[in-house]
Amino acid sequence: MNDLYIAIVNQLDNGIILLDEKLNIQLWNKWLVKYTGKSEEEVKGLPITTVVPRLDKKIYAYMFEKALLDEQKSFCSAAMHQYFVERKCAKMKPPRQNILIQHIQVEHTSYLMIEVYDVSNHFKRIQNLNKHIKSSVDFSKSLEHFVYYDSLTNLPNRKFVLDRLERLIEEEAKLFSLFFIDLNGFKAVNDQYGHLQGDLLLQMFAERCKHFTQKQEVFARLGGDEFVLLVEHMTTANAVEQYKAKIHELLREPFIIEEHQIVISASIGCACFPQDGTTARQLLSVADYQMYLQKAKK
Amino acid sequence: MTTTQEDILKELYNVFVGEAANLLSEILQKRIFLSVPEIKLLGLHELKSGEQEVLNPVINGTVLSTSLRFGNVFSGRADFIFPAEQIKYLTALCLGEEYTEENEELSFNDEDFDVVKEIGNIILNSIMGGMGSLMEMKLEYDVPQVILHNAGEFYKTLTSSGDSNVLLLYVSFDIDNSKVLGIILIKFSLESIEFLIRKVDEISRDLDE
Repeated sequence: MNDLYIAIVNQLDNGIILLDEKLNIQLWNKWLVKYTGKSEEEVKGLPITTVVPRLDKKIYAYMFEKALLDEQKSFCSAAMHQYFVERKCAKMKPPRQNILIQHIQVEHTSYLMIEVYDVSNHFKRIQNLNKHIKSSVDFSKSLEHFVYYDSLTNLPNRKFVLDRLERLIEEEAKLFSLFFIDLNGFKAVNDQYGHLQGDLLLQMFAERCKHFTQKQEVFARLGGDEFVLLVEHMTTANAVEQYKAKIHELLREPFIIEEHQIVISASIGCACFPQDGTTARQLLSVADYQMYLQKAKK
Repeated sequence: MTTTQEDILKELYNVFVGEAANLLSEILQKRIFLSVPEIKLLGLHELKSGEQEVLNPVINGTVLSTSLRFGNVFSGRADFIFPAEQIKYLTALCLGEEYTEENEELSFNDEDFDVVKEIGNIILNSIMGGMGSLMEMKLEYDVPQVILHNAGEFYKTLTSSGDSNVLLLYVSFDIDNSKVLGIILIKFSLESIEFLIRKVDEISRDLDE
């Protein structure tokens, strides 16, 4: 065989075994010498099943026959076969190998080539890579949550609402209403019971809001004691009044904090798209103004 | 295709995959049954029609495909596809591992790809070998390539090279009393499909005589 080709085969980073038609070894490359500790001289001319006993099975005899007669290529995975060639150091844990069996024809002589790939470390590497990717994805998800959700109440925040409003406005065909809700008497709660209790009240109100919210509705906290409710596909005066009544209903039951019954109410303003504004800021500003008008009446 | 032609092809492909099932059973040391319960010849444009209720969600979803090109005179491309969500189930069944719903995350490792590549290799080898014998010619083909296609990508790849005929084979895997469905799509050139049907007609005539 041409020396150059042999030199190339010996440089490869995987095992190459060449068999003649009688399945005797004709070539055993350097990678295999290092891997198994068996020199080429030792194995040359011997039947493959003597040197690699794990290939002494009916299934591999069938694959060899199919390769020689029909030029069929067979891939055998470590997942389903574990390994084929024994490693030099038997004390190490069993290797994992993929093999590829294929036919080679040189002039009128047929050979079988078996390529051996050690994939012992691949699985672990990919597993580690997957773990790393998963933690990166989890981190970006938590970052996204941090950007779009209020840390105290876990409700969507101002940025979430503004983004959603802009998207709905871009769609144009969609109608929606925006309610601006300001809690009355919240400052007094903070002053009387302390900020921790005030925060607790906001969290309890947020829980009630979450239960109330349905599909195509967003309840969000803008900051302090200001909240908004965004309702898609709804702008009629009648429906707006019904929603206001529902929000008041949310506050009907007192909040019980450290055995104190705290009752608060809300002032609500509303803006509808597109009649009350065509930008997110215009709509927020109209709803805010309407809320102040309500508050002034109280 | 007439019903008789379809029946003959279905029987032939059942024999081909039967041989693959024997090999897989031997490798995995467990009984594996493979069958082709349904076969259809369609134009590529018909693949997306509403009639293909089972096929549509599969070819438009995330799939793992093992693909190969074959032949010179009798030529085409064969794709063996599995819905991505069934891959973990299939590998667990093949490797005798316990499958739990938590494992259903759509992240695959080399092992999953290799199992699919080997199963694809065995089944497509049997089918190509069988078709080669049927056509009385040696079909040239390589070890299939495994590719993970995101939703919709597989259909785009399949239809990117203009219209042609596709032989659609549903392949049912029966392992440890569990069933997994894979689909083989063999895309033929027009001459090749005519050649295949002529061969089927010859068999039909032989059966009649």
